[in-house]
Amino acid sequence: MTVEFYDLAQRLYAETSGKPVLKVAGALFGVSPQAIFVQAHQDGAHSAPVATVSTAGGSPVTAKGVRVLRALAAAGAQMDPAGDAVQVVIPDAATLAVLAGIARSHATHNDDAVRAASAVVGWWVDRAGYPGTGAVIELLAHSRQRYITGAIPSRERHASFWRAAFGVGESIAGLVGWAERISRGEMLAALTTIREDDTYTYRMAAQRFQKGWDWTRPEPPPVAAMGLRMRCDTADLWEAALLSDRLWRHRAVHTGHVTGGTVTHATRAFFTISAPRLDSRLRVGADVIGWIGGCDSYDRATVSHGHVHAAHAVNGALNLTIAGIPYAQRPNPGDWVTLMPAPPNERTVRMGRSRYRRLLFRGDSWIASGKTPGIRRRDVPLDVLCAAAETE
Amino acid sequence: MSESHSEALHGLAEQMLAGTGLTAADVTGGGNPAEGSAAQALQEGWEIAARAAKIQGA
Repeated sequence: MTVEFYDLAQRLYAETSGKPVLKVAGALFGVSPQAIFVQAHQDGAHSAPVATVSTAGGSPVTAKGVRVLRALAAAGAQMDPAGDAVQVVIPDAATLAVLAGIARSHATHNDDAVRAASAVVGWWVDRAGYPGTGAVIELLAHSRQRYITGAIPSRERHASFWRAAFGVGESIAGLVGWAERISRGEMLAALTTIREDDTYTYRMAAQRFQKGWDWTRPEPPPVAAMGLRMRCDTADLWEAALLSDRLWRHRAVHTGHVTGGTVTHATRAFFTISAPRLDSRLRVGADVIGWIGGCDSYDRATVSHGHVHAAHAVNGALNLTIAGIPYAQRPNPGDWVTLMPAPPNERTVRMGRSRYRRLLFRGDSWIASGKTPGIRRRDVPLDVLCAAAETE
Repeated sequence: MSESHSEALHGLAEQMLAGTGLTAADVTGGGNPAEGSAAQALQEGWEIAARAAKIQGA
């Protein structure tokens, strides 16, 4: 992998130009007009956490304890089963941890508004585990994902560094300015599915809240299992969204996610490329998309779907044989072809989830019932036996 | 970026490029380095950064 050298050169460029450099051209989030901006801190283990809550253009409220939840409720943190997801913008993960601590302490408060704000925080805590979510915007993480600076990597781990890099202050107004600065540009279209999940999960959480569910209690097993499935899907969608970006794709060549080579052989069923780089992450059986031309041709080329049929290292080059691409879209010997992992098919993702949901919530589901399934004997495929023997 | 950031970055560059025969100045080096080499990664990183800087609102 040569990504360390690629990043180093980008840092040197940022140092020369005196400003952060984009690693991802498309925006990774949009700031909702109803977004709630929060910064919080706790000075010591025994001191009460303090949070400042505001909306864009609103008056900031600084509070402690349950008053933080009242301020969040007043800013729009409510549970509405038919409403839109509530977005929170925070400087770093520490802020969410502070909010979560406060929300846990008042999850069963007798004031409905406080309890609802607590449940919204609980939903934010959950959504923060989904990359690409529009529910929780952690500006430090987004800054590091989208930009690179002329400093050493360890400096970029602090929110104060990025505030200085973007010329915004430490106040809540600075937080608003920081969010505006790093959300500029057109949002990556491939993130739409994750945003739809934000709305869906928010409404489900609101329904559970209305039924009196306490978010601090462990989730029922089928709900937890569904969450795991959605996290896996979201991680795949996020990776694909990044690869759809014209700048990130160039970087991905140096991590082995994007591979290019000259077509050496083509038949009606297959074609083979000879890639000068051996560090490709594409493996036999992997679903890929490919197009004629280099990284920059993606947006104007015909993109075809196929899979890696064979991979061999030959004379210092990687020969990848691709099958499954319609004959009419097959490249000719001598063409340069670029390949990268195929993005998840949204329809397949939705159908897979729907089937999984039906199985999980069925009366005879052993996950739903909480009972360990009984032992049943059946034939085990030979390759499973071999794999088990190899790990012994 | 401040002077201390710059010093630290050049220290990091020296450390990373040790043994490659390259220096930080090679980011703009001409020639046609081999695909997959450190020199090619350096040149491409610089070139794409220059392109990114031209994006509106960057």
